[in-house]
Amino acid sequence: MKNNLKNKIAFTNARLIDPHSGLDELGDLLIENKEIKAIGKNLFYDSSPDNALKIDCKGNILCPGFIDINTHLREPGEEHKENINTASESALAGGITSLVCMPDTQPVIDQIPIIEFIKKRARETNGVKIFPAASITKNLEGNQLTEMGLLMEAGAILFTDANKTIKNTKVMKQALTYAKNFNLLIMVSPQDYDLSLNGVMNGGALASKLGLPGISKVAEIIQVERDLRLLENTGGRIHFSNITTHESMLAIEQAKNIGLKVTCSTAPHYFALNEKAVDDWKTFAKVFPPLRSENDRKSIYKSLVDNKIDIISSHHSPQDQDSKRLPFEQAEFGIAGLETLLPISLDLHFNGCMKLIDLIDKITNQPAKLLNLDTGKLKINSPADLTIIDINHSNKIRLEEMKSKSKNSLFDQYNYKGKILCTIVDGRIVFKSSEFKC
Amino acid sequence: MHALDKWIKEQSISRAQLAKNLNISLASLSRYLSGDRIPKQSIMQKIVTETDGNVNPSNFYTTKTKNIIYNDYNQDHLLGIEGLEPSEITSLLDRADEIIKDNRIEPTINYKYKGRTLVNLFFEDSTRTKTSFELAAKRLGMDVINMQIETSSIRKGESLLDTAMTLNAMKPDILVIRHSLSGTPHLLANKVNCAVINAGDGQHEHPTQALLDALAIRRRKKKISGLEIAICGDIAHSRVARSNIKLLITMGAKVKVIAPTTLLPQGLDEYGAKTYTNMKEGLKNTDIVMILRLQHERMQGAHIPSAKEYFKFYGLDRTKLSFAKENALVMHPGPINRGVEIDSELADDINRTLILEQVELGVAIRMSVIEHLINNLDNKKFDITNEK
Repeated sequence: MKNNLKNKIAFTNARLIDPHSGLDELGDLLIENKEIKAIGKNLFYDSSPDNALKIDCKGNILCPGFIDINTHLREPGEEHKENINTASESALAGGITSLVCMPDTQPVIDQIPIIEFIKKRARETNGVKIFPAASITKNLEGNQLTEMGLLMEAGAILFTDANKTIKNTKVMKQALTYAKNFNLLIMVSPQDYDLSLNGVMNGGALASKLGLPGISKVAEIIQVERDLRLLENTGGRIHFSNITTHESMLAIEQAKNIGLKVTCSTAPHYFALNEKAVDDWKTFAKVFPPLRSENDRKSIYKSLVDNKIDIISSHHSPQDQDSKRLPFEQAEFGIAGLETLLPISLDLHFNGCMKLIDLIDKITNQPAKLLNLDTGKLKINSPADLTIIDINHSNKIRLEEMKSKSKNSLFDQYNYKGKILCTIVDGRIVFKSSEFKC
Repeated sequence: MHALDKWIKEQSISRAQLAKNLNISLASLSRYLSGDRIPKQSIMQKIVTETDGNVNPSNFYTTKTKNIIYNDYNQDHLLGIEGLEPSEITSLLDRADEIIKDNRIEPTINYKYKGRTLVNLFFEDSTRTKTSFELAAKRLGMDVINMQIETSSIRKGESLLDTAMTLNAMKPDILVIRHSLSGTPHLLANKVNCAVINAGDGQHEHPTQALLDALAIRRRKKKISGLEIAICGDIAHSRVARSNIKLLITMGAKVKVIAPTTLLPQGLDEYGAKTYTNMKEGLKNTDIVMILRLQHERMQGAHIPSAKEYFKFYGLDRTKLSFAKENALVMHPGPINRGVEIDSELADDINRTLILEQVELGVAIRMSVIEHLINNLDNKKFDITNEK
């Protein structure tokens, strides 16, 4: 059989990092027909591979492509903010090869045809791999459960009401109990409904000063504690996304210690920024949950370094200009995050003394484990979803260069080290930075 | 010949050289010399130092400068008390005092700013503040446009920037804005060329109210610094309270805040205010008692159980007032809820309350603010033209 140049790539001289197997050393990697075929030192020492595209990685990092478990695609319904094509380009430029899209679209992902639609659009786009999440309750209303089993069969990878929390404790209990039938994953962005109602920023002295209604951190803690108590009773699996407070972490740690199946994640802005970013009513800093105090920020940062938070997600929430150029209370929540996921997170490595392999673990292996995906690891016969990173490349984030349709990022002009050179999905090179020649 | 011109001649240097030494533009210097403008305090000091005291501030006050205000206010807008220097607040208060004096001797309309325009852009109902601004502008000979924007639509802010840009295209001099959302005047100030006055934004600030309260206090007590002032009522939701706390602390007063815990915002200590939940303790040794209005929707269980209970523990009557100093005065920004936050009979006692005086002073303070802002606006334009 004749090998086709297109589906065979030989990476040489790469710093292979694979959190799944604990590998971090120089070596080579061969991919063929969408899959990883060989990993090792001096693979091509005696015989250079025939008919393969050869890429000399020049000592740069070759690791699994990132998996983002918390992306708002805005399609269907709000395509003026983002669509699957632009989100895909943005994700690939950020080294992300798989993502989970949130169901808070218009219409809500609560029925099979919407899942089919997303899958069809993902096929057409043929870029980043998209795994749709379906809502727990119909139309995100918090009353009736969706057809979880059927939605799972159609392709829903997890169930969440996105930024909304289920106010009714009984409904939440039923959701957790029912999800157990199919071993489904329930994801919650914890925030007590009544305590967070009408709030727009972190409750506290700054909110008082700016005259803005605050969301007390208690709102998050209470919800985490409630749902953990329910989980203890019902069994099953829960994942808390967007964790922002010290006390929530304590509750989650305790639950893990008694053996509950609980995991959690946070997003770069929650460990890189604090509420002061809001000063002068800066609507780009309006996110849900809100940016917290410096103490909480530090605590979340430390929880990541100490490996108490399992996953870092982008929490990508694109918003167009018109949704942000409003009085603070009327502006929409959200920050664009796909392309800044790695640059901001790398601070944990450079300034937080976190090992690179441990950091990459939180955006590859851990999410893959949570979602039972085959990708996210350098393993023979696994999908060839890969990212090449130049860890020494210093650069500045520039909003105008972002590929996301909405550029509502707070990290304009942020100096970072560590650039995505190339992204590969199913053995295809889908993103190449201008610096990267091959 | 101007004393400074004389000095320049004696020293045989040029005006340009002096301007350079003072680090000001030649155009500004010429204006000081012609009497069209009075140097700011900082520049005045430089001139006195530069000339070894041969030229002093009195040299700059001529008949021509009578209508020119002594301006220590360095802002383009009045968006809040936050960030203002004591000298800036004093400048605004001093000018208002002068206006009151002038008005009482010769209450005629001044045509100083004939042809200038003030726009009242009110997204929230208001009678007092709006009419007060209107009257202030008219006393200065300005044209006034009142815009009452319907607030009933759900997304009222949607066209906010568009409205502002439209108004801006008509080139008003002053834009007075009231909005139910905090930070709105700041948003507009970044987009328009005119001077913006915050007439109350959400729960953030209401600077002209705080200024007129300060003026009322200063006129009665002859000072602000060192006074003990208690602010009582719904602090959490009050923009008046926020502006007053900031202003009074900036001016050196000791501020105490008295309210039930559900109506106290977080972080008051950061401003330097002391909090009390008991009227008797809080009012001890107080010179001024400021009472805030309690909004109707907050009386029915959400923040306090009932108006009756509130009045029992926090409503100001003569018994509670007796805990304060013997000559303590009562203030209220109005409109009053009689029998809720203040006893009706006490509210009418002109010997103990400043309530109506507050309204009267409101016009003077707003005239002062308008004058300062137009003065700065003109200086800015003047500097730009001369730089070209």
